[in-house]
Amino acid sequence: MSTRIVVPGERLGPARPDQTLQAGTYLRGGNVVATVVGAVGADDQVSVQGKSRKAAIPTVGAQVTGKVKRINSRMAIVSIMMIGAQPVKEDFEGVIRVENVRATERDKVQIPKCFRPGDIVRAEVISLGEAHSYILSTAKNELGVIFAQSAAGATMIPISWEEMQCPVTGAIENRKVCQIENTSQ
Amino acid sequence: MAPGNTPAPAPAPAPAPQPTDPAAAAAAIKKLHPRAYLARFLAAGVRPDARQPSHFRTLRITPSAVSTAHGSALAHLGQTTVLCAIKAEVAVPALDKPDRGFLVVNLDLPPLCSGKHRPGPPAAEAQALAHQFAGYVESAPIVDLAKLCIAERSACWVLYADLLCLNDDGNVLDAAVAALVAALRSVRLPRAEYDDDDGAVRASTDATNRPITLPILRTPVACSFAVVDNHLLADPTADEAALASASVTVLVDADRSADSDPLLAVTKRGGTPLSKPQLAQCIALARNRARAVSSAGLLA
Amino acid sequence: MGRLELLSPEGLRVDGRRANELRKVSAKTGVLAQADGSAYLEMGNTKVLAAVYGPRECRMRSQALHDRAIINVEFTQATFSRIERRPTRKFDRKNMEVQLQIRDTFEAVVDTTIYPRSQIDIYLQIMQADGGQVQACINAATLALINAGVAMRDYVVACTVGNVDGTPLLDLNHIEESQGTPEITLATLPRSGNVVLIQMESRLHMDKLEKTLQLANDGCAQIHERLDEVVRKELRDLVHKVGQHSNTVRGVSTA
Repeated sequence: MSTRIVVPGERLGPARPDQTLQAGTYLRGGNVVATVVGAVGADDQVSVQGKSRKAAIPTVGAQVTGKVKRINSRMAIVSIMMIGAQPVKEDFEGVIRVENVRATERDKVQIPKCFRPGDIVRAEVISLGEAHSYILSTAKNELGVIFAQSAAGATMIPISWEEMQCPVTGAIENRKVCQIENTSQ
Repeated sequence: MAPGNTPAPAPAPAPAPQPTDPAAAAAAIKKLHPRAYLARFLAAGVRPDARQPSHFRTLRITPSAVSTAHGSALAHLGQTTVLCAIKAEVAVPALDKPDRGFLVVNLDLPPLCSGKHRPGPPAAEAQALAHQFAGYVESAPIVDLAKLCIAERSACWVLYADLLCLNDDGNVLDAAVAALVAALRSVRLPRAEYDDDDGAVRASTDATNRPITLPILRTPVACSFAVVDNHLLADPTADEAALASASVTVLVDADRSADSDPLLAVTKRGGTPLSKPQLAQCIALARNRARAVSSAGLLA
Repeated sequence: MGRLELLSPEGLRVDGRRANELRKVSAKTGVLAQADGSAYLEMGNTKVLAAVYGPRECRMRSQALHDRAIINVEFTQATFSRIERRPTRKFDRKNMEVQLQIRDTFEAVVDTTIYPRSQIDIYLQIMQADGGQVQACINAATLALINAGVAMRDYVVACTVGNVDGTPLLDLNHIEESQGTPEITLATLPRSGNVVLIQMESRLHMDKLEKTLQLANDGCAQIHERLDEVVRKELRDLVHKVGQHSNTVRGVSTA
């Protein structure tokens, strides 16, 4: 099948009344118009292929992966490094506040027992946060720390939703652990 | 909203979007664990761009790239690109050096060359780099400035060499030195005469009026290295340089690399200490590199 | 000494062109590896390098807008861009004016609402200046933005025109610009023909304005054709290389 290539400003077709706009398009005078270069999808769907660099910035509801830069008693500041499965070229800043760490016993959270600088965490963007950083949440089972190093410098193994163990010294440290990474084999 | 976290580890509910193909997985590791990513390659004796740790990237020179300049060259070191344009103006010689002209160099890393350079005054790193570069030029003169004299004490040429980094993928310094050397070799100056009566400098009325080329005193080649986890990496890319704990630059005279006296400068600004054998290795690799660049006729 | 004759009785300009003739336009995109999008454009001997970074996090978070991206433009002329060397001055008022003009031009066309709280940087470097720097920058910036995948409602194409004794001249070079000819820079959106930017430096009689603007529009249409050719050709090459590997964002198209 031949691919039709479109450029910004090019008309894709008339807008149907029940149609939802795809990424890479906008409405102008009752027509769907392309905003990026790409090939129009094979089926009747009017959508535009952008460059492989999609999801350039974090959006509400997006799952992100980042590294904890620093912590204080009220929040953990995170460098967002990946949006979904896509690494970003330049990091964005996000915060995980005490009340967004977990879903239960939200006010009893102690940040240093959940996150430490250097940890890699998986989180969800819950708000764009006005003029400040992106507001993130780890209040789901599948969110939280996915990688952390112990005080001895070894990669820790998760043993529960709130504990990780150093394989070298056997010491147990507290983290808000992401439960996907459970190594149960 | 989400099911609360229970003390007993429960099997994970909805799976997270994991990278499904190897390329995406590798990109994720490169982003999240850059040091481990590089270490995997080094353990196998290569680097992410398939180079050996001791290999430099290919150097490509395009001479006379800027038609409006008296001399110019575009240097590509892998993806790192530096443009050097030399324009000559007439000036009065310095009182203590009445028989020679000037060479003024300026290395600029504008925001367009890399995401890490932001607009505004140059960052400390860029300034230090420009300063190191200027220092090399001054301590190891490339051209005979006496040839720039038009009339002793009255008039001389001043060469403004403006270097612009267009793309920074690491090791701008080596590319800049190469661009400057090639640009100086491509300089063609009109023959000029100084008129004693009115103190003006005019183009020579000599019928032959062949343009002046600059006599080359030496051909410096800069070879920079980065130390990452005790591995010595020649000509680091931007990703490798970001992980380096120390960096070394060796400036070698390519015309004398076979001699016993080719060294022009060695710079190591702090960072992880190098052992004597490692430093000797840098110097040896630099001599080889200078010889290779020279015999390829790149800077001719 | 009289003024330089910009248009000979035979209808030839100083560089041999006709009054309504555009200089040769050539361009390449994706020329800088570090930038998210880039383009190198030549219009005759005016040569521009454009780089786009973004959308990325705002440098000064206090400047971020909650519902859209901010666009930042930096315009610099290389020291070697003219016959006489020009040292870079820190605060060049003319450069700043050009930066704001270009920024306002693209703010109207880039779909900034889909990149809230972020910043798009457009860096423009004049490598050689032979008249029409602003028009060349706008054209190069369009290509670089398209190359970066930044959503835009349409291309922005720009063109300069002058007027000599009632005859409109298209795409002025440096000599023509420096003769005090009235000059108009026009930037339009090709699909609709709407004007995004119009800048006129000297006085031009109302009678002559319409003809001059008409020529400017023609010029923009020609430039659009050239730019579009470049974009489509490069995209075709890319699509062939990548094959049918689909990056389409699929969602619900009908309820």
